[in-house]
Amino acid sequence: MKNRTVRMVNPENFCKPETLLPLIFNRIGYSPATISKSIHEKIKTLITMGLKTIHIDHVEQTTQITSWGKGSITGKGIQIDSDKWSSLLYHMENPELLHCFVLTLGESLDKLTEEKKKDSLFDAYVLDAFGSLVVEQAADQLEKSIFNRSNFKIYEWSHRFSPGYCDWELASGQTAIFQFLNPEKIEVSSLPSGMIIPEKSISAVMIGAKKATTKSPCLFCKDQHCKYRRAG
Amino acid sequence: MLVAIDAYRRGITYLKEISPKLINPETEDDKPRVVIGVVEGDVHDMGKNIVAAVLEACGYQVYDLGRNVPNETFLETVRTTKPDILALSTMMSTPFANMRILIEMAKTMYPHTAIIVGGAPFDADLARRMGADGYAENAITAPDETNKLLTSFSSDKKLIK
Repeated sequence: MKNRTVRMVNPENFCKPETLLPLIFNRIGYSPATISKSIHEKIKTLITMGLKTIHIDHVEQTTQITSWGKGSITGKGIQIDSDKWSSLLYHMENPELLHCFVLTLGESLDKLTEEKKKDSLFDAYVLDAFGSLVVEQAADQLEKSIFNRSNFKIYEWSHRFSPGYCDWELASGQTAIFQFLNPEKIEVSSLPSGMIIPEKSISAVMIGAKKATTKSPCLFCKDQHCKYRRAG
Repeated sequence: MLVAIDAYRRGITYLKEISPKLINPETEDDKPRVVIGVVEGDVHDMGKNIVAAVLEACGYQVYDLGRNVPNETFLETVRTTKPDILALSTMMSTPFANMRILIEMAKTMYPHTAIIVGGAPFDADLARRMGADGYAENAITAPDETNKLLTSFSSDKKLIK
C-alpha cells in the first residue's frame, strides 16, 4: 500500500482560540476563575500566533500483519518489539493490519518558540503547551478519519500507541517507524535517542482486526501505577 | 513564576543598558557558578530554561549550554569555568546511558563540582543510582536543592543518601 500524504487533518475543526483557551489554562496550571485579564489576553494572542504558525502534515501507511508472537508483531516492512502490544493480538479476532503514521505541526512552531525563549519564557511556555495540545488533537482527528474510511470500516482498531510507551523501546521503535514511513519527505526526522524533530510531532501505530475486545494492553498489564493506564 | 522571571530578566537587561557599572565584575566572580544543559539526545529544554532563569535570579552565575549538548562540551565547559554545580536535565530515558557516562567522567575529572539532575523520568532514587549528588524535582525546588547541595558538598556530605 502506498504512502499517503494527503491532508486528512483540518485544524479548523478543533483549533479555535476560544476552544483551546480553557485547555491551555488547564495545561499550564491557571484557573480561569482567577486569571488576570492581561494574562488571559496574552495567552489568547499567543494561541492566535501559534495557529497562524503551525502547518499540520502527516505521512501514513498500512501494512498486513504477517506474524506475531511473544515479544513482537511483524508486518511487511516493520517489526514492533513489544511484549505487551503483541499480547493484545491474542485478545483480537483476526488481527490483520498495522496502520502507522507520523504527524507534525511543522518546524515553524519550534522556531517561533525558540525565538520567544530569548525574550519571554512565559510566551515560550504557553506556545509549548499549545503545541503539545494541538498535536495530540490533530493525531486524534487523524485517528478518527482513519477509522471512518470506507475500506477500514470493516475493522475494529486498537488505540494508537507510540514508541517509548508500554514496553516498546523508544529509540528502536522510532527507527522502525521512520524506516517504514520515511517521514523525512514531510521534513520530520529523529535523533538516535528517538526524539522527533520538529518537537511537536507524533509517531504512532494502530492495529486493525475483525474484532477487538480490548483496545490496549492495559487490562492485562500488571503495572497498576502506570500514569498512561487506560480503561479499555 | 514565569511572568516574574520575564520581568526580572527585562529589568536586569535594562539596568545593564542604562548603567553597566551596576554590574560589578568582582561581585559576579563571587557568585556560585552553575553549568547547566540538556544532555545529548534530548531537545526538551523548557524546564531547563526555567531552572536556569530561576537560579540566575537567586544569585547564581549560570552558564547555559542549551540542549542536545554533547558530553565533551559539558566537560570542556566545566574545565574552563570551574563551576560549583553541574546541572543536567533530560525529559527522556533513552539518554540515560550516555548521561551516566558523563556523570562518571565529570566526577572523576572534576571531583569538586557537584552534580544535580532533573527532568520527568527522575526521582531521588534514580538520581542517586545515576551517580548524581543531588536531585531537583522542579524549578520551584531547584534553588533550595542547589543551595543544600552547595553546603553539603562543601562539607563533603552527599545530599542524596
